[in-house]
Amino acid sequence: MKKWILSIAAVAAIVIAADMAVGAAGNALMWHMPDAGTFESDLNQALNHKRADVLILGSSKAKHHYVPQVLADSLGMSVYNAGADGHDVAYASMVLQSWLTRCRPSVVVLDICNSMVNGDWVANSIGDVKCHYGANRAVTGYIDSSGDWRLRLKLHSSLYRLNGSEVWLAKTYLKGPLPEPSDGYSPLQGSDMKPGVTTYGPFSPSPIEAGQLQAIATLCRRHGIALRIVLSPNHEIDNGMRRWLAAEARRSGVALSDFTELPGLWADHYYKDRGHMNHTGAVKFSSIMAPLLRTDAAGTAPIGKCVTK
Amino acid sequence: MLINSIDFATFFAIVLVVYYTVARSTAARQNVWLLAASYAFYGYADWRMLPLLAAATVVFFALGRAIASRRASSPAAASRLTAAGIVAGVGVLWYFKYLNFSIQEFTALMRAIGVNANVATMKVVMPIGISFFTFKLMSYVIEVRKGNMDACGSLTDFATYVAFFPTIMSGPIDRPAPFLAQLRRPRRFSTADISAGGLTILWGFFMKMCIADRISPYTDAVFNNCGNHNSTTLIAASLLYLMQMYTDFAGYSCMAIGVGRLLGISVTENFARPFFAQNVADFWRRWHMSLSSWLRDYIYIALGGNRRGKWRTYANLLVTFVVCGIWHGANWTYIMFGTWHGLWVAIDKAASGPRKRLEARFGLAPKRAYRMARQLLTYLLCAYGAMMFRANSLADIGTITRGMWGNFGPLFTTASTQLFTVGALSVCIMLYKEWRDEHLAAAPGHFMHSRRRWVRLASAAAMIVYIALTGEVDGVSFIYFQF
Repeated sequence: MKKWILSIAAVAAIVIAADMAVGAAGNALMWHMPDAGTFESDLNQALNHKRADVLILGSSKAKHHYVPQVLADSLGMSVYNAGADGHDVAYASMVLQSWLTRCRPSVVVLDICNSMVNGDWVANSIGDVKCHYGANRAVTGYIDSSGDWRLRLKLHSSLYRLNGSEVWLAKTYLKGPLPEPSDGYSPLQGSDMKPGVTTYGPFSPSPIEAGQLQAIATLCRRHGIALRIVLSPNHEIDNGMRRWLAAEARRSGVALSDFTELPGLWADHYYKDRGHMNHTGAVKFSSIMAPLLRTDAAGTAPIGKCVTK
Repeated sequence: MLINSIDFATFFAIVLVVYYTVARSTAARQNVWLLAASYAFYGYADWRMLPLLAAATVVFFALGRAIASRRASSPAAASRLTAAGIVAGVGVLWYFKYLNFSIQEFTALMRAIGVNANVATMKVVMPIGISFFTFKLMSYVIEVRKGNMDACGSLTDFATYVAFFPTIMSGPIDRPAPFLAQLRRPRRFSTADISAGGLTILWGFFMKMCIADRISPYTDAVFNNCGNHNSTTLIAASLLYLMQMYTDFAGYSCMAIGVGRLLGISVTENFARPFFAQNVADFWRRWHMSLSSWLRDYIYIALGGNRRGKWRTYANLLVTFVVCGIWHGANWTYIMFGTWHGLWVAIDKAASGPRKRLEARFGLAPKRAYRMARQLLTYLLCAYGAMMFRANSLADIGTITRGMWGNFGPLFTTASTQLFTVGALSVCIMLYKEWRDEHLAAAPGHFMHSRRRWVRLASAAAMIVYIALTGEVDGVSFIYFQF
């Protein structure tokens, strides 16, 4: 019996030691992950490294609709696109909070779509950022406040936290850094657009996402950052969500630009699919956004520690 | 609650501690505790079905005693009671599982012959595990009638057998006699049982989390959009789905067997390295053995087995496998699955004579290349059957079958980056272990079963680390829960 108990203890000790070793190695690898332009390296850059005067937040619409180079040339300011496919308002909030530990941008653009605020993507944000738990304060704070004690318990294990990361870490290191530091934008080429529009049923906002939206507004107000909520052009029309967002923006005193059915960007050749513009559309849209952002930037306090490119 | 979840671990820890402490003095006490735990486990999944489970248990317990009391004095009455039990079991299964399917097919048939029938389907919730516990109940009354066992004298023991929580959701389908015999004696704490059970559970976790759950996103992406993939991808997905089915179901079985072992109860094995089968019949002697043996004993042999001439034998085999298909679910795809396997088992039976003569003439049987070729062919045939099992409809079976030829191209790889990297490594580990178990059974154990203690400990620790780092740790449900 004594030998058996010692055996169990030995196995437990080995597992705990391995957990700690994997955690230390994983943290180091994550922190030094090259700016390779992959999905995970972009998340890492947005959460932990990048600085810019203008910060674009949102999901895939943000990722593919805002061309930092076009905005930067027009504004004379550095611009970073921190949009992430399949990610919600909560993720945007985590990025902004992390950003503010490094510098204070003049302008934040929060591009919103239906799935970001209806709760569909809550799990995505946690799933993709859990590897940063414990290392990134915003991520740790968000997960700790989620109320899921099982998740918090599991995340104390580095093995769980880094579960599934070995493949993309290896891929990112093998790919190596991009020749130029990434600006986060990911262009879509060509068009697979199906004519027509996609409509939605009754809209019901997620309390979590609504709360995070308010948190972003409060954070920007407190730091003197100009926040603009944008519904960028697309053929997925959710009038319920648009009405709700307009009410939220009014309530919070935040600027809202609803470009969902922008006439100059409605033609099919500007779109990759109904939800996303291609590079041609993104360039045109960014040039439309630039004057708005210039006005927003002019209204803010002097720029903080953001690095200009 | 899933058996590979924190909730289950918490639940089971409590069950185990009480089982070996407070309840340990007598078998009866342990069985009462097990029964309570089993009903709590089942009720957690769906409390509405507890009355059904309890009622079925009481009815079949009474039936068993009535059959046993009439077995010698009035065999005809005993047979009638047994038939009533079978009808009741099949009836319950039909109502909850096949009623709406029957209504839909009846309506479709009527329309096909020009009769406008409009029978509404009913809102019937299928109890989890119904296919498994009804088979246990029917097996019990048949065994009592045959005289292979006495009727169980304790309702608690019988109810524990029926509702035993590690196996109620997805089997294995334990036979009543050996299981009830174990319940009659108290189970003492044994470090050997705990170690063996723990290692079996660990292996089950590995199969489920590192292989089945890594393949699942890929096969879902392909089969749910089967018309838009090329031949290479459709064939790959079919081959992978058989692997997924095996590791998902065998993984669950390992966990169930391991949990049983931790409780000092031996649960019947369900798989014996099916990928080393030499033909489809051999495959079914190694795959879901608790079901295939049940079907053999209560359907195939009842129909006459191989005692009524060769054509009747082939027909009996086909019927048995069609029943196997139907057991899996109310869909023509499952019937096709069963029919496909039945056809190949019958063909193999018919061809066994000529095959053996050929093997003898050319000395093929001991040749490794020949055996591997047969294994590969068996895998391909069973993978095609697995595709039918997974397909969403008969139309999809047709689409996939047509799509498998003439449109070869690059393999679709975007749905699961883990699958083609660590997933492939996990499959290699599993196949290596199974190869050793198949061919080197007499050799000294390896890794977790090594004779050297430090190798065993290091291997178990390495397996835990590997599962935690590469497995799908966020709890995907099991394929066979739907049956």
